[in-house]
Amino acid sequence: MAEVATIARPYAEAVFSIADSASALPAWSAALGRLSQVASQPEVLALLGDPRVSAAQLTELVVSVAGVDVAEARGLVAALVENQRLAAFPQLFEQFEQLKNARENAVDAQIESAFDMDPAQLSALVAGLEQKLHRKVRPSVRVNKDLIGGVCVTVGDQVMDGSVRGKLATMAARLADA
Amino acid sequence: MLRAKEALREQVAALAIAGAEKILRREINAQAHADLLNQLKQELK
Repeated sequence: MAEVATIARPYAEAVFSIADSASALPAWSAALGRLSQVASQPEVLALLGDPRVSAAQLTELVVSVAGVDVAEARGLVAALVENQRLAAFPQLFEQFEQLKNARENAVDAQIESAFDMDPAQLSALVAGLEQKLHRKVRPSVRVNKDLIGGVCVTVGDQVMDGSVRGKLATMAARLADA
Repeated sequence: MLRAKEALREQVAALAIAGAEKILRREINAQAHADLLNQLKQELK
C-alpha cells in the first residue's frame, strides 16, 4: 500500500492544472473542500466496498451531497471511486491548497492568541506579517489561554512568539544558564 | 557544597518563574494583551 500522499499527488496536480488554466482556483478550492468533507465521512467510505452500490451511484451521492455541479469535479470523483481511492480526498485537497498557495504566493499562518482578537487587531497583525514575509498571509486564529497574554504566530516552520508564555520560557532558560 | 548550591539556584529560578507567572496571569487583561500585540507588530518591521 503506497503512502496516501503519493496516491493523492497526481490527482491533486491534475486538478490544479485544470483549475489554474481556467483561472478558477478559488472556486475549485471551495468545491474540493466540500467534496473532501463528504468523502471523508465514514458512512460514505463504508459504501465504497458495498456491492449493492455502483460506482456511478456513489459518485452521484458524493457530488450531490457536496452540492458541486461541475463536470470536471464529477469526473474526478468518478475516477477516485472507480480506483477505490476516495479515502485519499482530504490529502488531495491539502496538496491542492499547497499548490494554490504557492501559485498565489501565499502562506497559511496559525495564530494563537491569549484573548479574542477583534477584526482590526487581526488585520493589522496580518498586514505586519505580509510586510515581513513578502507574501500573502491567510490567517487562522485559535484562542489559547495558556499563552497568558500576546500571540504566537506559526508560518510553516517559522515561529514568531510574542506571548507571555514564550517570554517566561526565555526568562527561565536565562536563569538556568546564569 | 557545589552541588547543593547548584540545586538551590535551580529551585530559586523555578520559584521566580512560577511567581512571575502567577502575577502575570492576574495582571494581564485585554488591554495588556493589545499592547503585546502592538509590540509584536513593531518587531515585525
